[in-house]
Amino acid sequence: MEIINLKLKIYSGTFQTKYMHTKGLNNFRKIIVMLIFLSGALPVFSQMDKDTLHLKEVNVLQTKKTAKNLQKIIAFDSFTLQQYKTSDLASILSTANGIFIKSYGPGLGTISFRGTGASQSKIFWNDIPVGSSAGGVFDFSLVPLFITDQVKVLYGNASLKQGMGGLGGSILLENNRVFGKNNIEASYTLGSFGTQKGLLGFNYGNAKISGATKLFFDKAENNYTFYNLAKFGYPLDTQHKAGSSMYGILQELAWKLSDKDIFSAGLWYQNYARDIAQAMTSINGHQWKNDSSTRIFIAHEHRFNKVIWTTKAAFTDEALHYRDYLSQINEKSKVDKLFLKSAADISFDKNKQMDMAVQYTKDRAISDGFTGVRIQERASFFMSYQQVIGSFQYQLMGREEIINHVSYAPVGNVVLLQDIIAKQVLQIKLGAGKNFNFPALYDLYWIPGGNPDLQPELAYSGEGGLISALYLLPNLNLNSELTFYWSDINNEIVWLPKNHGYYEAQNIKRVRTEGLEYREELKYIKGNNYYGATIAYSYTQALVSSTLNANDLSLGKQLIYVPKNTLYTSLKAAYKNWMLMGEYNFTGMRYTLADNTVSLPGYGLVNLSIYRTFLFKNYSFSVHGKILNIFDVSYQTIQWYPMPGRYMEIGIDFKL
Amino acid sequence: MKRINYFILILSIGVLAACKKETPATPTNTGETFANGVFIVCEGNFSQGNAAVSFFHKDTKQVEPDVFSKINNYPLGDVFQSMYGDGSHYFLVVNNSQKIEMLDAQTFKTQKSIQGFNSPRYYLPFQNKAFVTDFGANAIWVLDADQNIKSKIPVSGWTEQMLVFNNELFVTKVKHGSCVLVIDPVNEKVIDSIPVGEEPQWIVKDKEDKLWVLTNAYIKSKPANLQRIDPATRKVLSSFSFPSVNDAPGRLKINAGLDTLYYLDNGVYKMGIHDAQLPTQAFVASGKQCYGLGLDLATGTIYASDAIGFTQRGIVFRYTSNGTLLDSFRCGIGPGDFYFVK
Repeated sequence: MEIINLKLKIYSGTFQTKYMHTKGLNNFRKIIVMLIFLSGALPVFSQMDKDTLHLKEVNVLQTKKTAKNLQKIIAFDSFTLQQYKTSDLASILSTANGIFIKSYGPGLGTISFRGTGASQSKIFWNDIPVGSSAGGVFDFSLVPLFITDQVKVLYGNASLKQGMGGLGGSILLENNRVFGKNNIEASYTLGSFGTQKGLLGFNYGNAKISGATKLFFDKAENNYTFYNLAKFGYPLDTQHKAGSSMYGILQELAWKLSDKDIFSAGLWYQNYARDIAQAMTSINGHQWKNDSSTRIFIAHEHRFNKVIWTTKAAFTDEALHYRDYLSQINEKSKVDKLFLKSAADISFDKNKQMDMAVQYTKDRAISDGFTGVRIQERASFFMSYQQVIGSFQYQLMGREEIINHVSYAPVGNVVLLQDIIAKQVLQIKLGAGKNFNFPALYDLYWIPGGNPDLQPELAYSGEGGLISALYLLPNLNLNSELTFYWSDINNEIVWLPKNHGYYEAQNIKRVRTEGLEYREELKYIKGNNYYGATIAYSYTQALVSSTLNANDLSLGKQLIYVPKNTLYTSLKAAYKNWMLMGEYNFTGMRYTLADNTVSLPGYGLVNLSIYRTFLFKNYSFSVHGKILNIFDVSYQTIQWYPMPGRYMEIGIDFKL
Repeated sequence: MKRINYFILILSIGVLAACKKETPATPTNTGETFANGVFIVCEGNFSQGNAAVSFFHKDTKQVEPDVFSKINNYPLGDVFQSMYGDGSHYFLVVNNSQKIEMLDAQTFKTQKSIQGFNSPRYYLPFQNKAFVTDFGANAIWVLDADQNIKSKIPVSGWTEQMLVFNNELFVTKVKHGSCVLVIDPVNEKVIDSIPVGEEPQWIVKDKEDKLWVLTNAYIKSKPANLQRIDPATRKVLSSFSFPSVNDAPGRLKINAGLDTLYYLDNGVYKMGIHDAQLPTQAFVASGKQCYGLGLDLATGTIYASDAIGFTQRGIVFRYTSNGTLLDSFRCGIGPGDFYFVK
């Protein structure tokens, strides 16, 4: 019951606001607004037909737009986080607009965000950049969702507040600080393919001190069967040497010294070892990877007058060990990061807000891939100002960064928001900005092929769209958002072969991305019951707009492994002590060659999860079940890498 | 509960239409033969299973982009490193798929998939056995007459191209002590080694029964070397050091007369075996990023390829023996080597 109440609390909050704003709206206006959004959807579906229409994935999304921040940010609601609690970050992100997870099988998933490359999306934990700066690419399957209280998807330049480089967007993980909460939560799950998951969480403290401890483990054999299309006769094969084992801890502490001062600290440690699932074409390949990471921070928050001043220091250690047993490759890398940040959020009045921050990071990397110790220092200054003027709002963001003592031209973003129909019934938003992505250390220094003369990838981008929040009937509201975007990425880094057969990093490509993101979310809330439906469609066009090689046929072609069409739909229900969610997630055709002559077909997956809670006097007991890929669809997200078929899990939860 | 059933039903409607499983094509028997043409060894990408054997018909100038999968109805794998033919069979060495596909030379159908390697590089028969070099096995594999692995010769590190001369097997050894190994192929033992420059990979024999070895010290950022070796005395007779560490020569070949060497280094270079110095100008394709090189010994035609980033179909340029561009054609991904059908 506690879970359901928590969810309803969130939804009823938005519901009341929407109701107050829109109860005077006449039916004619409602129809006009709905038609505007439906007309936006029409070209979408006609385009999908061209690319073999299928459905994409669903997800529960909650958009928060306040006067403080006009950037496009989507936060997953507690209902969805609860359903995905035993999953990894990659799983839930695949339900968001504009995101495609490139999965090589269980335990290895990189991201393509708005058509950009894996290194052009960043991830932050409580504003701290995480992931190794050595490779520059983050594996989103490394993050268990249990450790986070909030997952936010920051589109385009929305992550400039946290840092540079998120040309497509970034992901922000947040932990909430709650004083006076004391409970214990335990969960154990058994699943297909030898899967076992265990979660144990404690919240403790009083009005002055709060602590939270989360322990987790996740083991899987991943010995699923698949039709091996790389063998004559396409026999049924079993994935072997793909097992994984993860464990870790998240520890948080906070001390409220006074109403004005809070000290906090956090630790996130985890170790994830796995055999890497092999391609169908590999007969006896065996690769193994171990990611071990430790992230700690201390922070102080001081409130005075209209200012919230936050100071944070963090240290992260990201260690990677990779082995290829057949090729006798045994490589290690280790990146330590020191992070210092001081930020001030100033509310001049309810209509004017300014954020400022200075930030310093120092990365110290050791790797078998290059010689010596490589240091990367970054110092930056960030400022954002946003103002509400009647029915108009704007936000200006700027960031200046000095990297290894070299000052780069400032970047920034401008967003304008205008009410077309008052009270958020219909708004139009426009934005434009500039961002850059500094090369990863491997791009610069890897032996052989690293190129210390690489320039940052530079992106100019813009977006515009319509936002609507409608109260249709008592207890029923509809949130809609339609976004068009484009970006022009110059100096894109590509590894190209040289005569000798080795690859070398070069700034040679120019890519233009354009797309559309369309989302509708319908909610019905009455008493303790909730019903919701979401549809999220994305159209992504990412074209090579410039090449240096006259023989290159990729000019004007779609980037590989960027699906043009994705669709996610979900239905959710919370009725008494039941919670139920069904999802359909479609990923369209993806090209696997840059000249667009070979492609992988689209696929659609249906997932179902169910939660039943039994309430007792002082505790609750829940049983949850989940079926992923109900129809046992055989598919690949990366060519020749078989994905699991039907997966089932059942678990129990205990809360005290 | 009825509501739940209905809920699932709604979700199912779109899915049933969307999730058709691809029906595999039936195996193909094309009945075609491969004559008067050239096989192009298209490496494909590491771990992406997209290697291919392309075939160029010299008469019609038609290209078949992927004859292996067309005939055998399964992909070759990756990375297609090298190809050897003995008249009745072809041997396709696919390193990251850890196998050698033995094919019927007439039908191109798979006769056997030889497995058990780590990362095989080259295949070379000798009498009733065959030797296979390997990137990561710390050994040279020995196959019996039935093409099964019968033993291995321990060596440290990555071994590459091989050549038999005077009943001795000469093998380039790239790492952990760069040298040319001398192996007794009968007793399967290393009997000697010849120190050469860093990272030797290519080896050919000239008309005076001397060996030429091309090294590529790119990893160690040292200049590459082209060296002439007397296989009898194991002495280096002459050594030509490339002027810059940025020179990245590779794909050493020798012509039909065994008196002129060809190699790639931002273009195709050629050098007589008695030249006193390395050529300073490319013979053809000057300044071009060439990845593969082939010499048609019957006609003298030069084949040079551009892999174009390994993300799309590569292109092959054909030049006459005097360097005039004949034509070009597209093939599979990563054209690295050529096998000319006699």
